[in-house]
Amino acid sequence: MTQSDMKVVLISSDDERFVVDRKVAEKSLMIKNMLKHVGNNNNDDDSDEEEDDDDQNSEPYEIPISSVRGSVMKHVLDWCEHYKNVDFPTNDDGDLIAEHPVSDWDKEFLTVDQEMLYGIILAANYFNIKPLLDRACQQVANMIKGKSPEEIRKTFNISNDFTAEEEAAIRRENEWAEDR
Amino acid sequence: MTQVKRRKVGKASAVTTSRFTMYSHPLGVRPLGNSLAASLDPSIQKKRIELMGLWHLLPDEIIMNILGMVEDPLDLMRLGHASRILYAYTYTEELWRNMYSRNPWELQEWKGSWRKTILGIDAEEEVTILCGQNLVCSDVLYRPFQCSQVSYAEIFQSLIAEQTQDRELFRLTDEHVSIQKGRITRVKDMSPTLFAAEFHDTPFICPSFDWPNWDLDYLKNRFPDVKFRQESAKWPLAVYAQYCRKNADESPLYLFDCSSEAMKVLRKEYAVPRFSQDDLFEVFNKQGIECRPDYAWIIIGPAGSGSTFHKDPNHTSAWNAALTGRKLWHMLPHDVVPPGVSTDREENEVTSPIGLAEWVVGGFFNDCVKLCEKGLCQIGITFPGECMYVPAGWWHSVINLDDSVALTQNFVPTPKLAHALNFLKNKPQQVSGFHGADVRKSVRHLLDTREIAENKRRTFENFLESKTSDNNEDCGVLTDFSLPVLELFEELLIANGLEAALTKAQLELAVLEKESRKNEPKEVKRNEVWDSLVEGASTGFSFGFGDEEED
Repeated sequence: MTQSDMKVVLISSDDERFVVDRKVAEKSLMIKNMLKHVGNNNNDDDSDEEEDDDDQNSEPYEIPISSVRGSVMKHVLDWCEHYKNVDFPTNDDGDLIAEHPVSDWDKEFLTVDQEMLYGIILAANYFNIKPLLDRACQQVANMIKGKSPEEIRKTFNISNDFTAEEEAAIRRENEWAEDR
Repeated sequence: MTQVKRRKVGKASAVTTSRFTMYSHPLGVRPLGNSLAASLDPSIQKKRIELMGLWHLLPDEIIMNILGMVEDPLDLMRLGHASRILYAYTYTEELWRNMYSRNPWELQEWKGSWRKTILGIDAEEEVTILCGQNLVCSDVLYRPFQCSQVSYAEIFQSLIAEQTQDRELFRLTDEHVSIQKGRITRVKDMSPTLFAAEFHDTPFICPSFDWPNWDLDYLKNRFPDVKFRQESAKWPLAVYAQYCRKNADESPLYLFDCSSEAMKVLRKEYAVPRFSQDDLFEVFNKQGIECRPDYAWIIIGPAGSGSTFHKDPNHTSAWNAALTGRKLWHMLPHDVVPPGVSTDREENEVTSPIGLAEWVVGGFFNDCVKLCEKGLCQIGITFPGECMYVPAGWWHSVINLDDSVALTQNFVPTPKLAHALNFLKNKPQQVSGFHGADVRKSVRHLLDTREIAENKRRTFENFLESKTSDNNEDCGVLTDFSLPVLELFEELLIANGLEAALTKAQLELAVLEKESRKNEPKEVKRNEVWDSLVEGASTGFSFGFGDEEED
């Protein structure tokens, strides 16, 4: 079995099993690091006989992911599948080196309810999928654009406990800044 | 042989940092440690969820990541106006500073913080909305504030006391005095001969050469409207002076200017130290040649500003004269990587992941003190009127203990020529500060005015024909570096009658290269791959640039 046709099984917190190509799962740097020493065409590790032996075993590699539930995992893996042939080079800090324009496909993909969006963000963070994390965060940032504080409260289900004095001070600050 | 006398005064570890003060955040944000108490109180938890809405699902790092993507200042302000807790998150200065840096504009007035300046609100108009009762316990919010409040004069008080004493002793004697192992030596009269013979590879501090006593107020009154370069900003000096007086930045904006109208004038008003007059890089600025990288700077910064660990560009040495304000220096030889810094083997990538304050608070300064005891690090303080010598290739970092004005110049003294050649030859991808179009003009001038050996002439002509030479970007930001700086430097030395020094340095260089090959680790590295490729080139295959073998 070669590295490219190796399958990986990701098991969600609600015990859903997702069988995906290694290449797809490796969009996650976390999983990529985990699988670093698994697989027989890994050229920098040919000295390690024992690990090579594991590959003779045709059982797919199972990874339990206890912090991501199935509905979110499905979404994240759809993203990984879509981008499996795209390389997103990062520097040592894990920041993306080049900017990748957000495609219509991404916009469509991220048009989900907020609960799902935050689930995707948390999963992308956990899996260390920086381009997905960035796009999903951008989506949240866009939700603030041009909204009044009251509209923002509505959007994110925020209540507030400002005193009357604080309310007045905020109104003043707001007017001051907008009048510039 | 000059004697460096050491007087044992106390244990070196006596200069480690004093206890840190915990400062209270202006909005009542607490360190994360307090969240334990908060988590035991269900009413606080409930309130948090109400005041954060869906944002409570996200960890602080991600919230800040999202807030960092907001482009419009009014959007960020209104998000803060949505609730008490969101106000605390959006109050973080770093968010506003980054917003400005991404898209800087000309600033007429600094209003005391980035938030106020960008929103255009005066101090008395800004709301203060408190988050009492452990409502927000977050290191992500608290830590940058804590770091911005660190008082270096306080936490380095024992080192300051020791260095003050060192300086007093030094004034009273004629000797080179260094009070402790691991402290930078003070030298009274650094003649060019003494420098070349004994001190070119050692940091030292020397006293006043009648340095001007400019402080920020003086310069501000003289050049209020002149724009100086401060990192990503370029503000009139009067605005930068407002910034220095009041800001809450963890790493305050540092003014580093070489090309302002003011600096052109100021450069005529001071004389360089005698030991630095032997400067071989002057050949890049002589006899019709004009392509020397910027090398003379005025540096201004408030207390707490400074530079994280680095080596000076192009393997140059430097002097740095403190005109006002004390500076704390840490220096390590080229092969001792400073605590808290990581680099790859070739030092193409140097990562100092944290700012100065966190470096100190995180205990890395104290690690440096331990290295001092082993003789692997030297620390020292320059007082106003004192000048520091930074030897080529040494790691150094500087913390301004007070509001500071300093002058600095990079130079290449003759004893460092071999190392400079080594750098230009073997680390071409790290060469910086040379501009393609300037080098092109200089090369053309050289070809027109001098007899040049055939192999070098061809290198120069190839360069003039190539595209790279049209680009006047700093070569440091170009990815495919191919300016013939080494060849140009060698030719210019010869043109200036310095052939003997060059020949001597080339012999030293051969030794250096042999040494470094010997010290290379066993595994196959790029250089060996490179060597084998170049070897291939001489046996028929050519990359089109290896003409040094052809004669």
